[in-house]
Amino acid sequence: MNRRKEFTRNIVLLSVLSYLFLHISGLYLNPISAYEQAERSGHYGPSEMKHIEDYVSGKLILGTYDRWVSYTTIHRTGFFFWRPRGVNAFEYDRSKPLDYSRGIENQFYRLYGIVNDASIDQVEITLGDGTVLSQTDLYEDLFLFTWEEGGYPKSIRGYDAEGNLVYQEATGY
Amino acid sequence: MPSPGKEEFLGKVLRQIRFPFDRAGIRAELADHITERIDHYIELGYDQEHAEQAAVSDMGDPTQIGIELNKEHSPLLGWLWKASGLLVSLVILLNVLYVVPMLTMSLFSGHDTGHIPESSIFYEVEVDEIVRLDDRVIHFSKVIYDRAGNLHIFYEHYNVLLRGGWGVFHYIGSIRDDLGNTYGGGAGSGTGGLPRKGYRVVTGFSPEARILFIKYDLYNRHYEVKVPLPVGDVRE
Repeated sequence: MNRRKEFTRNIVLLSVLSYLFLHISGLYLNPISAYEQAERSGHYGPSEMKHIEDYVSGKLILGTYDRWVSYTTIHRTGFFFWRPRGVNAFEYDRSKPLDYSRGIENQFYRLYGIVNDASIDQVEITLGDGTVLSQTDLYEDLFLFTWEEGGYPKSIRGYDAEGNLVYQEATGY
Repeated sequence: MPSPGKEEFLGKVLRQIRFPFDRAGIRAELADHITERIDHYIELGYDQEHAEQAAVSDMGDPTQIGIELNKEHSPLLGWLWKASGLLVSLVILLNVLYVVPMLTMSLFSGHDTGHIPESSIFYEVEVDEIVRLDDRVIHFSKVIYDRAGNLHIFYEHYNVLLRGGWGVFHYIGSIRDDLGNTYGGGAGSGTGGLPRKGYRVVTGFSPEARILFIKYDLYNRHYEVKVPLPVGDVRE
């Protein structure tokens, strides 16, 4: 077989084998495809993506689907690929000024939730060791805290744009 | 002007060959050809030195020969051919590492009923109920109730698109019976591969129950499976 024919054969083989590999291995070339597959395999969503951020192993995507708030983790693997991981979601209570849930993955604590009271402009949590974390730029109506030490938060508070306390709650964690 | 020697001739030709992986082959072919000509002149009575000079002279201008050979052995096609060959090897390796294990995993995985001793089985029911969640098809295949009061639920599941990376499936739904009892999700396990096998065991299941209900109701997805259970101390 001459070189031109071998090259053509190689291109065909590359196309077929690459498709087979990506389809069956569960790896994706972009994080959004991996995120969509993570939700589909978790039988959740499709959610509306509100925020995406990097974390040490890959990306974390915050979203809403119907009456649930969720975060989905995507891991980077093999330099070029993305692997879907888990979907965490909770059904939020619209009657509460803000509602939230927690998670932990690879020693990273997370608290995520939704603000139902439009006057709340800032969400603040106090960790078990007294550390205070605050978020003023909400992701539309969602918030997300990620930290490594200090344990789960003991309390959560919501403030309006003037800094007045609108809501507070002991988390019970 | 005396003709260049054999090595000088070959060097001048190969300097025109841009695709380095072709140089060894071209060198060998030209060297063979020159050697044949040398042997021919030696048979005619030439000494070695003059035979080599005559043979090289017969070949022609080495630079021009190299230019023509370089055109025939296109460097661009050469690099494309070489790179495509390496990529095919890489992708084959990736498939061997990732795809083959996944395709063969479920062939050798467990979760048949072999771990439940025959003597401890109270009854066994072939189920054959199929439900679907998104791209996942779940086939509930068997239920076994043992004499310790444990209900074992066996199922297989696969992705209709044969797509990998779609996660395990441990939560099959709430477990209830026709007597109004609700049971915990139970312990379970699963295998990888395509398709996958799953298994749940529910402890303390009532021996008086006549229907098992498995109800999934999560994130706007629903299914319900009803499994009639045998009456009395019988085995299927």
